[in-house]
Amino acid sequence: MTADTGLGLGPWTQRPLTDIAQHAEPFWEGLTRHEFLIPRCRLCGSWFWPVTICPHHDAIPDLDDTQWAVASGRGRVFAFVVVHYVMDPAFAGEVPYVLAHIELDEGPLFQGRLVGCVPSDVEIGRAVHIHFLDVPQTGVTYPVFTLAVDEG
Amino acid sequence: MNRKELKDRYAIVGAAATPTARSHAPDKSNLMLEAWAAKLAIEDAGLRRSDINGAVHTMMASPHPPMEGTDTYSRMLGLRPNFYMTVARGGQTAHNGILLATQMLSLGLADYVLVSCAITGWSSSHVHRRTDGEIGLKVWPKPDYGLAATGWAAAAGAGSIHGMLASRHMHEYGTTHEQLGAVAIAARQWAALNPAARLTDRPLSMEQYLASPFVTEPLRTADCCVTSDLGAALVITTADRARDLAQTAVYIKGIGVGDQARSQWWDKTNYTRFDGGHAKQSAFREAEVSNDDIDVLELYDCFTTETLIHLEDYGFCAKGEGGAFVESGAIAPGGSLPVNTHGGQLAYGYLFDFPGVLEAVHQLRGSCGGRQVHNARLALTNGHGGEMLLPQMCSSHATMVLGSEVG
Repeated sequence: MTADTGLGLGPWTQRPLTDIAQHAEPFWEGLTRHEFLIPRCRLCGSWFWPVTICPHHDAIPDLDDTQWAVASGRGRVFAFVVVHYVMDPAFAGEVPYVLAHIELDEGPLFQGRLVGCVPSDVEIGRAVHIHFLDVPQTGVTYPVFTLAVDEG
Repeated sequence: MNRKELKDRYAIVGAAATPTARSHAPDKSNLMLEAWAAKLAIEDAGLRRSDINGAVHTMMASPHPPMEGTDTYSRMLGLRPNFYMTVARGGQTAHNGILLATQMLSLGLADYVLVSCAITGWSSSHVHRRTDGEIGLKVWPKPDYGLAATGWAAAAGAGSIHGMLASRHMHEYGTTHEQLGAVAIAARQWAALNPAARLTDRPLSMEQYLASPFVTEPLRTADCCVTSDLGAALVITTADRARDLAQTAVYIKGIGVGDQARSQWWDKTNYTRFDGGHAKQSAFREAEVSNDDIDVLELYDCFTTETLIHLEDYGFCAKGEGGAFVESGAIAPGGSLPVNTHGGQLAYGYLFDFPGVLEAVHQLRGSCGGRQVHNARLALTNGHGGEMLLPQMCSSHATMVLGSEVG
C-alpha cells in the first residue's frame, strides 16, 4: 500500500498529518491549492520562515501585519544531508535520501525534502523548485523539492 | 575591590553519575536513575537527605518526561525540599539548573540544592516498548510546522539537523572528513583512559573512522554521541558552607548565556557558529579569566562538528580553522588543549551537558587518575541547546568557568 507518487516514496505519505500548530495551518491549506505560502511583512515586504513578526521596525508591528503570501517555490540548496539510516520503517525503502535547507529566492531558509534525484547529483548552490505532492487518500499536499533541470 | 555577584560565592560540593554508561539500565526508569544519581551526589558531598532543601530537575525539553506531577524523583528518594522546579531548554540543562540553584541560594530559599537529570536513551531505543527517554525529533510530538513528517523525523536522532552544520562547515571552510574524524578519535583516546566511558575499550583509527557507515552524510556513526542510560546529579551550596564538606569545593567562577535568536535564524552564519562567543564573554568577565587561563575544557559534543564550532566560537582557534586545529592533535591526550577528558558525549555517554560538568568537577578535584590534567585549576564547560534549523528547535547556549581555588 504505497502512494502512487511516481517518486518512489513510501507508506509515510498515507499517514494523516497531525500536530500542526494553529499558526501554521494556513501553510498547509495553501499547499492543497498548490500555493507555496510563507509569511511576509505587510509593512515592508520582508519574507520570513517560520512565522515572524517583522523585526525591521522600531514599533512592533501588529500580529496581523505578518501575512501569508505566495512565494515562488524556487531557491538553491544551502546545506544538505544524505540520510542513510532511518528509525522509521516507513522510510526504509527510500534511503539514501536527501534533506536540504533551501535558500528561497525570497531570502528565507526553508527545510525541504529533495525527491526524484540521486544524492550524488545534489550539491550546495544547485537550483531547486517545489513539487506539490498530492495524497488524495488523506487530502494532504506535501511540499517537496526537485532539482531544477535548467541551471540557467 | 569590586565584589562580584557570582564569582566564588557558590560551589559544587557533590557530583555523581550512575555507573550505567557501559552497562545500560533497562530495569530502571528515568525517575529511578535520577533518584539513584541524587543519592550518590548527596553521599559524595557527605550530606544527609535532610540537608537537601531545594531540587532542580533539568531536561532538554518538556515534557521529557512529564514530571509536573507529585511523582518526582525527589519524592521517590524521600527528599523534603522547599522547592522542586524544572528547567528545560536544550542541552544546557546542567548549566541552567546550576544558575537557578545559585539564585535560590542567594535568596536564602535553600541551603543545599540538588541539580539533576536522567535519560534512558539506550533502553528506549533498544528495549521493546521503552519510549520514555528516546532522543530525537520523533518522540516529542508537539504542534509545529509539520515538515518533519517528510523524512526529518525518520532519520536517526538529531543527525538530520546537525548534519546541516557539518555540510556548511565543510562547504565554507573546506573542513574534511578526516578532520571530523580527528575529533572522534581524540574522544576515543580520552575514553580509553576513563574506565567508566561507554566506549573505553573501543579505540578508533582513522581507517576505521572512514570505513564506518554514514548515518546522515556527512556524519558517520562515529560522529554521533552514544546513547546512554544515565542519571547525574550535582549538589550546589554557598561558599561558606562548602568549606566544611567532604569534598574539595569546586567554585563557580562565572556563568554566561547566549541564544542564536539574538541574531534570528535567518542569519545564515548560524550554521557555522553558535552563540558561544557571547556566552563566553559574560562568563569570562565574571570569572576574570582569559583563554590562556583555562586548563581543561569540557564541551558539548553531541556531534563532532559541534566541537569544532565551539573551539572557534570561543577563540581557541580562528573561525574555520577548527578542523586543522584538531587534526594537529591539540585536543587529544598529550595535546596542548585538553578537551572532553572523559571521552565526551561521543565516547563517554550522552546526558546533555551533565557529563562535561561532572568531569570538570572531577578534574578540579584532581581525582581523574590516568586522564588527570596536571595541576588543573580552571575548567571551562559549556552546554548547547539545539540549532535554529527547524522551526521547533531552540538555540540556547551556556558557558561556565569552574575553579578549585578562591580568587
